[in-house]
Amino acid sequence: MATAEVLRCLDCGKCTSACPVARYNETLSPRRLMRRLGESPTASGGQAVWACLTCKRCDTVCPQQVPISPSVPPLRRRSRAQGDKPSFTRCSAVDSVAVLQSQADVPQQRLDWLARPENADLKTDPESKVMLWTGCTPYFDVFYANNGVGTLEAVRGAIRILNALGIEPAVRGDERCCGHDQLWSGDDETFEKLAEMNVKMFEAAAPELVVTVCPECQMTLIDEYQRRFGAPDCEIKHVAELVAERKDELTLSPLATTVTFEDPCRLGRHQGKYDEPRAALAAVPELELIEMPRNRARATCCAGNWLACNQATKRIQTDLLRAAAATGGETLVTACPKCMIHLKCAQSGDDEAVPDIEIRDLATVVAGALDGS
Amino acid sequence: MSDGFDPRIVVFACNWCSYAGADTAGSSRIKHNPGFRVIRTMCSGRVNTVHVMRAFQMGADGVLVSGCHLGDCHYIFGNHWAIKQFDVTKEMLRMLGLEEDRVRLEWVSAAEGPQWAALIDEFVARITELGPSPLRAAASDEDFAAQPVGAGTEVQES
Repeated sequence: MATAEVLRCLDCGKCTSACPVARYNETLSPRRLMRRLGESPTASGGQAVWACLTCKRCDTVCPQQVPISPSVPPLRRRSRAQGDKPSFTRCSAVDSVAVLQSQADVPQQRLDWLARPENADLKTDPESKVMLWTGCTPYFDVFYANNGVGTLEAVRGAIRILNALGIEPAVRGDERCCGHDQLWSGDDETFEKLAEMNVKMFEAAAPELVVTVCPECQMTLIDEYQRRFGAPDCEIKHVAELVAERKDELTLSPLATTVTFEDPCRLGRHQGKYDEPRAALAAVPELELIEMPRNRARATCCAGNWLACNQATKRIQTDLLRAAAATGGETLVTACPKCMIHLKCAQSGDDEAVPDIEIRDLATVVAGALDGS
Repeated sequence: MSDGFDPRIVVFACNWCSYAGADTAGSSRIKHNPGFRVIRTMCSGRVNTVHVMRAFQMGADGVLVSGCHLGDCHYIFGNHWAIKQFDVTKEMLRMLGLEEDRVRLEWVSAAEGPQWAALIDEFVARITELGPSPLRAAASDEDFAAQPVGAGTEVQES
């Protein structure tokens, strides 16, 4: 990150006061990290930087527009180089999936779920110019089966929505992890290998539209793949945007229910897409959205951090789930498979302080209102 | 070894049964293929998905997890947990394109020296037959050999 931008820092500490992690974990202070960078542009993030969620809450409150969260990957890169590695948890198996995909060009067996009887109604077409990007969801559902995580439900929902719009999307067996987590954790080597393989696939497939269920994938494809490598050379839409834009073409039956919505950081604060998921939910007749006190740019992050999962992240998740339950809504709707995983994980313990409010993906909710559901 | 291929095999053995079984094989002077590395864990249930995946990430061609027979676990149900975790591990690796035979979960008791030797011979032979892991990075054999035990395995339970 350019030093000049960091030197704008006034040391006011608004970032740290807004930081959800700093509330519970005093070793992380965005203010201190920026100060360290201001003093030395090649400073490392030490161990502390691994606790950052890169949720961008700090950036939204900084009066000087210091690029705080974008400074985190280079800080982490230098932490790694100095031997300050993250305290990987069991969930670093997800990191291993990405690294193993990057190491060699081996055909994956990632589409078995599509052949299951319950998905027989899904219409897909390998030749289609609309690509449905499934991301790591097939792997998530295997690894997190014990937590009752069903991220493929969101993919299923997205395909049903596309089918209702008369689109039979291509779901590909040769897509790889987009490398989002590696990029944000300072593992550029793995990110670049994954990107190279995916870009090759995009260039060969030449899609005209890519639809994702994961805002992290969407953001990575737009901000990194398109900007750096010029592929995929088409629009990349999150399913919430697609529904918001084409809701008039969908016949949705009433769902008399109340929900609250958690803004995923990669959809909201990182991409500024606050209205699209709300418009998508509003398209469902009789569905009432009750906002949590902290929403949009102030929304609480799901506190997902596979690099440093600890009591602080659990407390943030508990706070979020309590706020969601306090709305009186029956369901907490999210629009990101990772939020789903982290929040369900928080619920999977036997801590009575954690409300067991139902958590569903936006695509699943909207698809549930389609005729024939 | 066929074509000079020397497979890289990692064996996770539990402290109470399988590691002692390996010891029994040794003290009974039973010959078996020495081409593998043992990592002793307190229980087969300790070996989770990430340990096995890391082994492949670091260039392993095969991973064997061995624990006490069901019902014999020093921690009562640790090996039942091992089965659960191993099922996830196997499925993850299958999806990544790895041949199923490259990972194996077995039970060997402290008295089963001959069984241990037979299992090792069989596993090494099968991995040799399969050849290098398709998920291996381009890292050289020297790099793998030079890695100290425990390198890159900063894995903690949370």
